[in-house]
Amino acid sequence: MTAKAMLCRCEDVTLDEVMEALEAGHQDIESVKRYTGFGTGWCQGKQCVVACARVLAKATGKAPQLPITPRPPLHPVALGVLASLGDVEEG
Amino acid sequence: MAPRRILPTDLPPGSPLARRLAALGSSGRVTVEHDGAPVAAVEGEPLAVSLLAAGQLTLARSVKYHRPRGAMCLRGDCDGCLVRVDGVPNVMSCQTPARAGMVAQSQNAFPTAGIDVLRVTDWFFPKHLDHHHLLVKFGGALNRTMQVFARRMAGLGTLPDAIATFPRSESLDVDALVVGAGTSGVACANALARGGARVLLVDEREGPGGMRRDDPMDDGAYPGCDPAVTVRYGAGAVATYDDETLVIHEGRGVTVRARVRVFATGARESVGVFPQSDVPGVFTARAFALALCHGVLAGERVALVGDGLFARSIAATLGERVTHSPGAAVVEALGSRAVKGATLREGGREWTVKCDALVVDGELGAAYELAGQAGASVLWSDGRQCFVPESDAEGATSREGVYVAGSLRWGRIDHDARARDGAAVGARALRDLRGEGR
Amino acid sequence: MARVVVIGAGIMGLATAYNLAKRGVRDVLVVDRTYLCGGASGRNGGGVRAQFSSETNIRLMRESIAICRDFATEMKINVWFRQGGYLFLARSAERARALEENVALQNRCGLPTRMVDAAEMRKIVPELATEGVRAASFNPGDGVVFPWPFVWGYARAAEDLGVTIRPFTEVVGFETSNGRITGVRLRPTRLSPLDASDEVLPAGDATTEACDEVVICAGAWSPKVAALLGVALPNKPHRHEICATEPLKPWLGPLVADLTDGLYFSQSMRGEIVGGVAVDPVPEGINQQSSRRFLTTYSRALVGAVPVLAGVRVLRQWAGCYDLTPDGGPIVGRVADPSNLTLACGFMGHGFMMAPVMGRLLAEHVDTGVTSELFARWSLDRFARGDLVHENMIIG
Repeated sequence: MTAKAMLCRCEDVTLDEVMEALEAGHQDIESVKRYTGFGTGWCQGKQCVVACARVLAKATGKAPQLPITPRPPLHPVALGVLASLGDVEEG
Repeated sequence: MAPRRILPTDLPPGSPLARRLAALGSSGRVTVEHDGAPVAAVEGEPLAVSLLAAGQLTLARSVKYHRPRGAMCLRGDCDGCLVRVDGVPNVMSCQTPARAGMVAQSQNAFPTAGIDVLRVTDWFFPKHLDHHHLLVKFGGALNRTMQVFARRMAGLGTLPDAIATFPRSESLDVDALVVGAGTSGVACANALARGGARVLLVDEREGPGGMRRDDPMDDGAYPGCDPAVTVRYGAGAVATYDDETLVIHEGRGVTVRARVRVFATGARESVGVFPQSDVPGVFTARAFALALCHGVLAGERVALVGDGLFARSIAATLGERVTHSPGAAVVEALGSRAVKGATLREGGREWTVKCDALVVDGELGAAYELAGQAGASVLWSDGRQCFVPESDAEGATSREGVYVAGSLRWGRIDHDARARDGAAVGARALRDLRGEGR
Repeated sequence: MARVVVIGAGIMGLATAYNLAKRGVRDVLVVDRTYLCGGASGRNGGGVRAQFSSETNIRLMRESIAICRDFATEMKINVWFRQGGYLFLARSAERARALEENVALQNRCGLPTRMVDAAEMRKIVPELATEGVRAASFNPGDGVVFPWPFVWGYARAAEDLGVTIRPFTEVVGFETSNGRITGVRLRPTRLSPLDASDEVLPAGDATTEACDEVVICAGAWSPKVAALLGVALPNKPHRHEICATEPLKPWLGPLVADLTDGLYFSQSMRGEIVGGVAVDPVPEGINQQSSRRFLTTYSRALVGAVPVLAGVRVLRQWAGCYDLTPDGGPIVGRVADPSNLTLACGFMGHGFMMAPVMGRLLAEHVDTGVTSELFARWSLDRFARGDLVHENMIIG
């Protein structure tokens, strides 16, 4: 039986992978994100950023002050829609 | 037992849900196709709900281990319901209204998501697959072969069948943009409009009410918008920048310039992290409730955990049809292809329940992302155990012209409190527009 | 006390530190204002190519590609180096001619680059819209990597050899005496909560680290650091935006680039299309914010090149800064004053791919003081002498 505890479903990052990243010296949330890949998949962290922050809080004694940087777009947007947008005005 | 559709007569007479379902009536019954099999659907309901009603729990496979996945949040916040629809890859079927003749196919699986032989990776690496160090000890040739194989396994859908075309985009200029037509968003937009501001209110759902739409105990009497408010439904704000916000309205791009922006984007639910938390049949309470509001019971033997608003409404609606453990936490879900049971813990006691749906109400976050994109500072809240945009008493954030209202900034507060908050933030944003200072 | 202080823990600094330690140099300290992979090394698209217009760049990149090929087994971490080739498109007769000249030079340097016509372009990328494309050059030996594990690989290997790496540590000043740097003033930092700008704030008091040698390889931040020494660098930061799409099954072999508009795109190991395009104008200074203008410009160019991508979705966008010099060549090597300062910056958006070979050369240069023709060609004082270099295959 493969009873994995998925911290990040979209990238299949398990809870113990996050713990290993911490042990390997990746102590801040941005570094843990890059090393494990959590938060970089389909949902872009909607499901897992808070879960990871709680794990870091428990493991390091302090929750991260900031989440991973929220980047556009919030939901995936088709290139064709973006291409249809008007030119951006100056200023 | 499998998920199924329920009838108003299955519910206590006079229950709010019975009334809602009776009102739905027998609107547009259509047939869609999933992996070659016909599926009965109600026109306009989320395709993921149609598939759930047909007993199709497993819809997708995960990227690395090909673990079975299914609808979990029903809100477009996870990866569980991704299917290929009408030749388009990676479609969130919970965000896709069912239409007659729609063709859905599973992706990233062989032969189908239901039975995927590529799950061998999951079995082969019981703990986890460390892709950073896989086969680095051996010679270059073996490592390079591994990479070729890994690349073939990666990715979800394949390229679209056809070249898509999109409608012309639109460009709007308003005084105030309010994102989210839940209780606080509507109250905020009304306050702004009554103060003379040109307001655009957007919500990705088909109508107002926000979380109230998903509550089977709600009477559905959502407060309406003032006629002076321009409101668009089916319009999701997806990106916001210094100079404009991008809204996707029924597939059309709309760029909105606004002097002030109010984010009333609410809370975000999650089932939490425990062994097998990703197995099909594990739902957030809100997702299970949303399905109920569409007349779909997502399991026959339902284990309900948690004491939040949605858990209480589900318990009140279904009574003895669910086993409700309000004070329990989930230790692990059981079942490898679909949920079969769960181990729960409360106090010092642990016990196991059998179920075909595990419904969890307890993990709450704030939908802070748009406010963060807008430049508001977003910080960890020890009290709420999640990230929250920082705001003052009147909803002003660290960024000029950016405001937050409602459960986004307070967590779960009652409807009246949300309405009052929305009105107060709207009044504050109005003073901003009038140049009356911070 | 550190014998060598390397300022910048991107791939350039870490490769240099690793190679210094391999040469037996003790007491190497690498500092960085933010987390590892926070700068350009963590933000780039992972392209690695030898198709350049100058013999120097071509020969250097041949060597760098060879290092990339062996990196996973040498450094014991996967970097997903895939040699799918680079396809450079030319839409005008002039550009086609320039490509042909470059191809000829690359062939003389031993590369198998060849010109390809529209039919062959469509064999290499069947989804490519070739109307309007006059010609293209293709080198099957060029490729893409996943950038982050290079940083971790060099960092781990360097630490195993005794190098100290201190992220979240910025340089706030120097101590000098008799034309030499005697110490570096360092201060701890933390990420600013004030907006999504990836800015850092002070998080403690400054301390001084005594040193014998200093290397500045801080990418777009190099001029700021060098200014603390009174060394004026002509580099300017230039924001480049980039984005990634949803992950799809593998379909795109090469990285495709169009020098006309700076469009480039490739398919990552995870299946995402990663790419960017030139956007005009860009904000002054170091700016890593995203814009809507980029998304529109990029999507028009990308869908124009591969029409079926119209229905494919962007998952996230981000940005980083190129470090640009007036003549398109980097600034490398010791300076006259202070005499124990070595520079390695101004790599014009292709520093990542050059770092593996540059790390070796810089380590030798710092350790032994030996200077080669390369360091003479790319020295800072060339600007005062008017001895400029040329490179026309800069993407974006």
